[in-house]
Amino acid sequence: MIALVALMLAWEAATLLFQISADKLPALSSVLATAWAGRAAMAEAVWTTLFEALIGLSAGIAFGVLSGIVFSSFRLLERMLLPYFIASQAVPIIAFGAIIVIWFGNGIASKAVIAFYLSFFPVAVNTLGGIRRVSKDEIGLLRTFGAGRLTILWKLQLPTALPPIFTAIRIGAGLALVGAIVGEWFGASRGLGVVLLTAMFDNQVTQLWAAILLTGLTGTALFWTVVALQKKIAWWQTEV
Amino acid sequence: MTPKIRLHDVSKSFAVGTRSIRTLENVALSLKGGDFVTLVGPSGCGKSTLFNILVGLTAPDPGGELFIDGALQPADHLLGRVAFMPQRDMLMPWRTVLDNAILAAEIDGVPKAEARKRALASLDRFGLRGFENHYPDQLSGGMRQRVALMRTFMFERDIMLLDEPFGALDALTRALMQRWLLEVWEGAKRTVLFITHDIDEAIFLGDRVLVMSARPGHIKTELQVPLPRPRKPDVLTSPTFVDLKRTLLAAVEDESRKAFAATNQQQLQSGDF
Amino acid sequence: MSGELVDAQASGRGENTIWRRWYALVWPPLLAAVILLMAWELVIWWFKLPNFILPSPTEIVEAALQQPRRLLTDTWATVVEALVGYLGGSVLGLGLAILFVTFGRIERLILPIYVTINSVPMVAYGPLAIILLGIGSSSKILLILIAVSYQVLINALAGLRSCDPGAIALLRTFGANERTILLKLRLPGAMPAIMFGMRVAVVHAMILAVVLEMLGARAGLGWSVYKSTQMMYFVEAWVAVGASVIVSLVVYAIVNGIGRKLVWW
Repeated sequence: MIALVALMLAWEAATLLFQISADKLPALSSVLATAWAGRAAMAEAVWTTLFEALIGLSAGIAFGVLSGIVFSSFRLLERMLLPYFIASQAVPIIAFGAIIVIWFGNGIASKAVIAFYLSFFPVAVNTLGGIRRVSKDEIGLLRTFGAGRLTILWKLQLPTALPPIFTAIRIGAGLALVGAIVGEWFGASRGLGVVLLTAMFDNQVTQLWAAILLTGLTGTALFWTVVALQKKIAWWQTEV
Repeated sequence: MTPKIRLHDVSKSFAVGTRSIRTLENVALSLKGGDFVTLVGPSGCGKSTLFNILVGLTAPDPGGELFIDGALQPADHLLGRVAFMPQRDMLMPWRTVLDNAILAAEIDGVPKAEARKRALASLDRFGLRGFENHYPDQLSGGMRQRVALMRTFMFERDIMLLDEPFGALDALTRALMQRWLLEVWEGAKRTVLFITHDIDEAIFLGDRVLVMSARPGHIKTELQVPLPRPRKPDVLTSPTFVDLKRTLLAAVEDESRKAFAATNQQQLQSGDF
Repeated sequence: MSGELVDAQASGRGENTIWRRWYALVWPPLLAAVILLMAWELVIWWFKLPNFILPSPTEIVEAALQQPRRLLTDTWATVVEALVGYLGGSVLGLGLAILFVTFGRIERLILPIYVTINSVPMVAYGPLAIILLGIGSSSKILLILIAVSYQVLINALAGLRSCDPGAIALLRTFGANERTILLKLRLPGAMPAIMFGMRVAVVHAMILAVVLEMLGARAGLGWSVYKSTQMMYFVEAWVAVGASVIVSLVVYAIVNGIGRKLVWW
């Protein structure tokens, strides 16, 4: 925290002292002023991008966890499909976002698809890995209590997998945000990506820095939200 | 005859939170050159602290004195004077058996090629012939301890400190390792201080057995072991052995009970279970 | 299952095992790729999909062979950006990690700044880099360098710090100083973590290079994708995408291979 404040002060001081030209590194104060002046538009941009990212992320979490569970129970499906999951990540979907836009249109859907594509894999891998962490002895013990397959899944395997799942969600959240932003570069009318792009074409450096700051803040807020959720839901193991 | 190593009035306190815990209180011990002395004591009696002081990782509280060959040692001069073997072997997984064995000598400044030559020559003595290019995770627990012991022996110092080296081994392997250690020691004649929990081991290995009290630790009892060397396995059931064991058990049992009560008390007070 | 049995029998026959194991690892995904490509071809042919939705593999390969020089130029441009940024970033990240572990004060000063800078997704800096450094490769290389160095730094720090304190104490009893402990204990011990960071970073580097080119570049696979899409040459766009996938896989395999040599335990 202190470091952050120090950094902000240093930024302001540096621009004053070293007389850095405003079209490279404007003073923090003017960046903040610009952001504040356009706060309505900025807020809308943040919300749009966040929305796209969250939809994609939620779908990614749902699909990832489900796949992880299915793969843990059905080894055959795992052997058949997991290699494709891995291969899917070798394909830089982010690179052919243009094609995604052709397939899914200019609206929220295409960005959410990219966000989904980027976030489902870490979640699936960590769900599978987390479930596998449970030893045969532990499962055996529950069986001696008369537990069936679903009970074991619900009471033992899933809780064990929760900490690694949350780690994956942390990673996935960041990726989803990036996916949404880059998706917007391929065709969108609103969102942080659009603001960034527009500022670049208009050569508005102050506006650009304002957008960068907001993107960073959004990403950080998203990250800490996930951490807070983890502390509530999987409190027994939270390593940041 | 000047003792090889002598401690006088060594005490150590640690600050834990707001309290000060006196781990060692006026420890006095003396070892002659070539002695093999074993040390027994309950958990938490300060054995590790004592070893850390002997090896130079911690300094005793002011007033404590450590003499090697009759010369007083300033606390910060001790590191590197004593060959230390910790409880866990700490073998480096990326080094072969041979390179692990030469580690201490290598750091000491012995040229790698020379150290490797010496190590190769000692492989038979340590029962590691044929394994010099294996990696630690390919070895059994007993073999890993032998590599660690080899490393300790190759660090050519007169004084050796072994901290429960056989603690993690099963009883059968342990018995074999004890006999083997005595063989190796007879050949090298270093001064050895050996910590153990196992009373049988303490008597079987040592010329003398020291018993440490519960915290604050000091040497409570010293017992001579008049058994002839080399020690044979059947000595474990000889009348002399059993007598010694009886005495030691009584002494250690006493201290163990005190230590146990103290730990419970402490946990109740601090509230952690 | 049978793959495992063969291994056990062949173990002890030396060179043969390495071949068999490599072979066993490679054929399933290769087979999967072949099946996928055939299925893809079939689907296009069956549903008669127009090529702005999805061209067939044969079409893509044909288009690639028609303009090989341009494809190679673009591939080279992207690879150079990614690799220069990657190598520079790795050196910087590792160097900073060692510096931080040796001088805690420097870490307290610089690390928070680094973390703050990297809390913004690197792509968001893209537009700024283009304005400040132009559309040449330097804008991409700089951002890739920062992103890779951060990834390597975090992993290296964790690895260097995960050292067993008992092992450090033991080495000190041998008379080792901090430098010896760093060279003989911390660094080798940190290699697995460092290699992990480097594997992740190389994938990031390629993706960043491609994405950043879409904002503006003189050449490159990402630039090719963007231009082709603008001009509605969709097959060409897919050629560039295909090339970037292949290059990413190759580069990852190389880094992975080097990793296996450096971390043998």
